[in-house]
Amino acid sequence: MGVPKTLIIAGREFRGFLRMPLGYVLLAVYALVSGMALVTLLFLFHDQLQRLAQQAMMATPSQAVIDVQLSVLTPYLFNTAALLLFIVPFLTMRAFAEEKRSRSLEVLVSYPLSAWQIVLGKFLGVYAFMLLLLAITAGHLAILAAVSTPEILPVVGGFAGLLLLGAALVAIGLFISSLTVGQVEAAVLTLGLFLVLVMAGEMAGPGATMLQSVMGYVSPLYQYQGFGRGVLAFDAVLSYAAATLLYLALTLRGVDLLKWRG
Amino acid sequence: MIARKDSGAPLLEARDLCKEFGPVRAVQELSFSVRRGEIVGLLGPNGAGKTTAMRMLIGYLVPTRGSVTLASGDIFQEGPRRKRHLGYLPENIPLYNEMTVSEYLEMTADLKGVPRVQRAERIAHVVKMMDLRAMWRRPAGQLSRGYRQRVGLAQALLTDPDLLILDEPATGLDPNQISEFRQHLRDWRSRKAILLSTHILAEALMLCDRVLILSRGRLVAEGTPQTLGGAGEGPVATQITLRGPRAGSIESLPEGWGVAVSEEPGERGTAIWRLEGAIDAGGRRALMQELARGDWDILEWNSGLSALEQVFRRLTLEEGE
Repeated sequence: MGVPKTLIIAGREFRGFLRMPLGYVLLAVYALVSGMALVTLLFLFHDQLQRLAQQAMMATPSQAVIDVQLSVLTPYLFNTAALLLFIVPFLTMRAFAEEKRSRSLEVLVSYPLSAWQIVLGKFLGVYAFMLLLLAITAGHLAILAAVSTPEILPVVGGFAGLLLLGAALVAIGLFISSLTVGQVEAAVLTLGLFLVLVMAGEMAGPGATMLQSVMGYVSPLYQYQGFGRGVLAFDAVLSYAAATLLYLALTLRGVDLLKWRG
Repeated sequence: MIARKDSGAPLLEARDLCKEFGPVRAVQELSFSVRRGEIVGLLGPNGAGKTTAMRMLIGYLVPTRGSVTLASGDIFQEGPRRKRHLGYLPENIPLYNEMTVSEYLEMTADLKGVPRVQRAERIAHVVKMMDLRAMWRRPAGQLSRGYRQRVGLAQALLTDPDLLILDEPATGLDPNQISEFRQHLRDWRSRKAILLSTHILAEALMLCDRVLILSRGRLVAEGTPQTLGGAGEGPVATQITLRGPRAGSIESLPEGWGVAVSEEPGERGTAIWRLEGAIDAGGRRALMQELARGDWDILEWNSGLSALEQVFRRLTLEEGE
């Protein structure tokens, strides 16, 4: 019994990032931006602590309460979630668009494979590379835990949220890639769709109409708010899982559609 | 090598294939079959629908109407199972440039379902056949066109498929590589069914047992290169280049034969004529005798290929008008 074909496709997709400059550029940009975000937040936190210490020394009564979760962890997780919106389009753009342009998808289709093996394989391969990016975030969280004493649940919950958000974003990106021929078009359209969904989520909130609440469910960042605050909401988990499955099914449909229109 | 055509069921059968992209009819009512032991050439000018037809044959495009049967099963209903019998090579040989030849062939073997115990043996066999040993560790992106084609053929042959579908396989190869490639096809002919698309008529004449001429998506002719070119029992279209003893001497040739296409002055008062016409075996003998008597030099005598070329031009241009 050999390795399942889905995993073989996933392995090729993953290794592709490690063999191309694009993979290293994305890793470097992700590490730099998320690292800068963490350092900036830590500096701001340090400033706040110093101000509080000065106030204490001057015996000025202060009501201010600061803690590392609110001042560093939550904004850092939101920054990371927002950063994924800009990174994922570059991860998924090649998946189908480039294979269609080069005609390598034709070769793949001529093999004894089903469309879902191809779609799932590509999803797992791209997602695996995204996990490599999130490993940097895990490192940052470990540093944060080492230099302060945050509550463990918000850290774990926030990271789990990033894993779920990332899966949904990758599925959306793959769907767009399955509909386009050029990888640049795929990246631009994916980013555009992410931003539209985020803006749609801005409509949701307390006192929102039913339609506005639905917009909240389709927005990737709106759903992340709970995770960022350490709240593991069942509906948010369900929403990401449903979005991932829905867009994977649409990608399958996109590949099928390709069979009709070429 | 004489091809041994299999009398069993065809390995590939297209029935009334049609593909429409909106108002554009890319392929219309295309029906043909390919059996083991024959090389079938799909000929046609650029844009005739060859690639679209091939994409339907491998299951990449769903036909608007019609069906494709591969190894007695419908390619769309039973695709994954039937495709074990298929080896396919598209025109521009898409390889994953970042992968080495070894990685690519190993991945292909796994995706094609070559059993683990046979994998090393099968890969070694195609690597030897395609002479890829020296390129084994080289990334595909660094390979020449010739080697890319060998890797492409190696992936198509990994499962020793019964059916090979090759889209413009000789494009971009140098003369040595083309000759080598033709030899491979001749070697495989007796064991496989081969469908190759080409717009190079010499290729079809040299290799194919049967050709299908496609024009504007329609099958406009089907037959052996010889019968299509009229080399059966009827007259053969012929092109001859002659050096005559003097200008105007063409009038002394047998009456009614050939059309003078051009006349150029030759050395020392001679004239060079290029003629085209249809001639049968008796006429050919008479013409040779006449030329020998009349002090004519035969510089070039070309029949068959030009005949197929004429048929191809006539059919594809007529369709285009």
